[in-house]
Amino acid sequence: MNLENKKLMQKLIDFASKEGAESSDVIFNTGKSLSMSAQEGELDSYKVSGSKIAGIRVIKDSKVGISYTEAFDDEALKDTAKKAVENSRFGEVNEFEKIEHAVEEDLVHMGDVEPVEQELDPQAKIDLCLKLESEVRKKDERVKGVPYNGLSESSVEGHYLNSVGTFAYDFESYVSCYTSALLKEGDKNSMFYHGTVGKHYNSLDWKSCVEQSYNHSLNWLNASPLKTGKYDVIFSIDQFESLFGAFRGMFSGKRAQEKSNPMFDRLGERIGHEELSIMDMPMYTPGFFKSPFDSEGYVRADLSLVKNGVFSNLFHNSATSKYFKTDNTFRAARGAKSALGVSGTTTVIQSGSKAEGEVKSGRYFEIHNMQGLHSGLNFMSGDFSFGASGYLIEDGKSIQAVNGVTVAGNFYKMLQNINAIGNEINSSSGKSFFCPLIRFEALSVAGN
Amino acid sequence: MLDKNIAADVLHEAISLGADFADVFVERKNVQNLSFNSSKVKDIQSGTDFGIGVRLIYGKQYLYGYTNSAKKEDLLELTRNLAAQKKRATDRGFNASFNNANYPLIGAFEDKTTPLDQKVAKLKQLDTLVRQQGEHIAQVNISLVQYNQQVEIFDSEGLYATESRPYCRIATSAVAKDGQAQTSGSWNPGARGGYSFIENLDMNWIAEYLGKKTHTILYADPCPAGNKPVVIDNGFGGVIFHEACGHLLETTSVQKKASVFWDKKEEMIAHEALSAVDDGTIDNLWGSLSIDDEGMSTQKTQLIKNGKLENFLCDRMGELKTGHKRTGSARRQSYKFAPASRMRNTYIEAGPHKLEELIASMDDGIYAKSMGGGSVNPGTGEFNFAVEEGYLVKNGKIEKPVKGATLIGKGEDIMKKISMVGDNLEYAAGMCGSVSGSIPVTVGQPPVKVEDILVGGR
Repeated sequence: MNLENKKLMQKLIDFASKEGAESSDVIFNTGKSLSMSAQEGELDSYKVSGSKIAGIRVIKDSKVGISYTEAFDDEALKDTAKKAVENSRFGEVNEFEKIEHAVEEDLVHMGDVEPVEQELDPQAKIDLCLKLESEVRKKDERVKGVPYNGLSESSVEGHYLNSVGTFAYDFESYVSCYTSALLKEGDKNSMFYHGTVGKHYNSLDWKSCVEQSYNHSLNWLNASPLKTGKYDVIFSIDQFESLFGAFRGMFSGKRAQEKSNPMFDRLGERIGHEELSIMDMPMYTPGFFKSPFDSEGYVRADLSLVKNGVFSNLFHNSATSKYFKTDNTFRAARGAKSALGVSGTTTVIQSGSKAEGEVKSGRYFEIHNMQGLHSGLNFMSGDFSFGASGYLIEDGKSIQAVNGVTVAGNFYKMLQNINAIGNEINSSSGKSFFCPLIRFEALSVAGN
Repeated sequence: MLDKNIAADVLHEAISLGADFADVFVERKNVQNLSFNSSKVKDIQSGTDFGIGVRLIYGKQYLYGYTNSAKKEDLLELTRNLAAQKKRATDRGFNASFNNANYPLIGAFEDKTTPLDQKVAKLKQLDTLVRQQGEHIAQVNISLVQYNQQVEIFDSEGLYATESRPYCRIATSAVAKDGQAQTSGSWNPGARGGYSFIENLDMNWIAEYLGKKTHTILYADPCPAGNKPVVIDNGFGGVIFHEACGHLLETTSVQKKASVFWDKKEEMIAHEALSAVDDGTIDNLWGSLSIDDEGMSTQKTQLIKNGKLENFLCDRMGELKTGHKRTGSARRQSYKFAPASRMRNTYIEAGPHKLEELIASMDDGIYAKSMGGGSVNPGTGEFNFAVEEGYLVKNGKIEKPVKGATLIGKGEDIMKKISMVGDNLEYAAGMCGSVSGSIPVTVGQPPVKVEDILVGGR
């Protein structure tokens, strides 16, 4: 922890105070990263970076203003503080948003003591990157390319300081990699890519990226569409994480305050299968990132979002909880550039009662890739329609590799139309989403 | 922004460490965002992004780094760190003086100073107009995004180029509700220029558009699935070409042979009815630039003419790796990204037909009036994109609205199935995400008819 950073933040707060701010807080983030990629046996790109950004939120006359800077001389800091105060003049009176949480002792979380960059020498990192390409190419002469691959390491520091003295510091260091396999045979081609993360180089499962990329791509080389109809669906955990993430806003107290949360009226009601329980767990042991405090300096605890199918809680910060006259759930989120919002941490869907064999019985469509997640959905209605690839499974065995189909449904209704929930919790490759096998009933698939 | 002597020292260091080429990209971006929700100001945010990117090219490999510091010693250290893996003995250096690049300045809406209270009043007016469209309107969200990106580019061939790029966009969305049924619709025009772009918008038209669109989607039936002919209307409908073909013509994909079109230059890759262009030179458009992010004057590039592939979109790395000539298409989100070949304003050129003729030619099809976004897998050419507002067409006539449709296919197939092209070309602003980050682009087309495409729905 660099005390100079804390001094810089205090300086920004002091400048804001001189401009007339009644209270303020600062988010200050720094990061270092190295990334590289390989192409045809040689290093293709090599990138290093160092970045800093500070963002201030001020309150004056019960109005909020924010501003940020990536320049840190006194003039830039004064200008940033001044802009935040000026911006507050044009805001609406906000009786709910306050900066008043005072904690005497500094809050410190060290995700790792040593930055990951010291674990390997530069040549060893380059050798590992080259393997991400060469190991895929070695697999099969039908591998015509590994167009997307990369290795990166990052160390990030997050700081929070407010005008009543609360200071929080968070350090994380991690490494990640991904690779792809582009296979061609005749006029058929297929491609899949897979990535993973690790806290250390020696725990980075890069071989799984090679295997997954190659195996799916190989299987889909001879894939064909399903016949149009209704199919039970099991999403791979990575795909379900993406789908769930697209609708995670249903838990947002901020969206509810802004009348843009379509599920808010259902709070306290049964919205899902009776075995569906969803937790937000900031310190979940297998989780990749731990998140002990929020962006207002409050200490977080586990939060039940859905309990036995009943919609039980929202992500709240101090302002949204005051607005709804309910408890703060300490899920404040604010980036250096953004206003106060809310967000979750590690999502854990609790295990159900069915053995995985039971969940996988009979025929279903297992989805391992979806396209168009950013565009093929309507958050308010819950409707979605995506391009999809995967396998038609019969009693746990693949009987057809599938591509060239769309899968469509309604996410909010889908939570109720669950056939079975497995009794083992699995991790997504990013280790931020944990979930048992869930079998959804009769989604629409368009193909032949 | 950056002292030219410091830039020269950095380039000298890079070349003396054996780099074949080096450039320095300096960016200062002043941002002001205003968002409006529940008929009130939600947030006002302003700030300054500042950073410097240094790129070294050795052979066909590039090394890239960035920092927020403009200090000479920090930039030299960054350069040495980058070169550490590749440095080689040389007696070369950067001894030239910088020559200011000459290029035509692309026009923009006036970037005049406008007090915040006037902007707030404008958004309040639009909020009121949208809410007046009917009882089904339950919420209105509006945000005004304005930024000015000032760039400087220095390179080891002595180039010095600079541009001030103003951008302005308004994002408007309405939430419609009737009992448990809810939906939303949006309209997000943007331009190269300042606030006068907003002053020129017809707020009544936007409000009526959103009112009708959300009402239509709210009460539409789910779209039936299956292979059908589809007429895609003009403007943002151009996202089909952007996703299904445009990305596959960027040398970013071509140089890795990750594009199905990488070896198809001078070949017929589309129906002869189709001609397409990527043009960075059109005044006021959201994707226009005077210079690209390597300091090259931007161009109008004919991609496809009457079905034949004529050109790729190419940057310096693309030229090194493929031999195709640079087209002023090097772009990046910010100093945090190395440049890559990217689209600017990409559109299908106008043809001879009226929209009515296209619709009348379908016995059982879909008229996609308004499109959402999409994506593509460049390696296989598989693309998808969403239909926001669609209509079922039977026997040449519009029968009823449908919702929740997605169109999927392969780029090389679909380009051959665009068989009729309309006569009224329109453009629409969008954001495009790819290897060098998220950048402003324009898509465009007249209405087009695709003979057969898989429509996903329920």
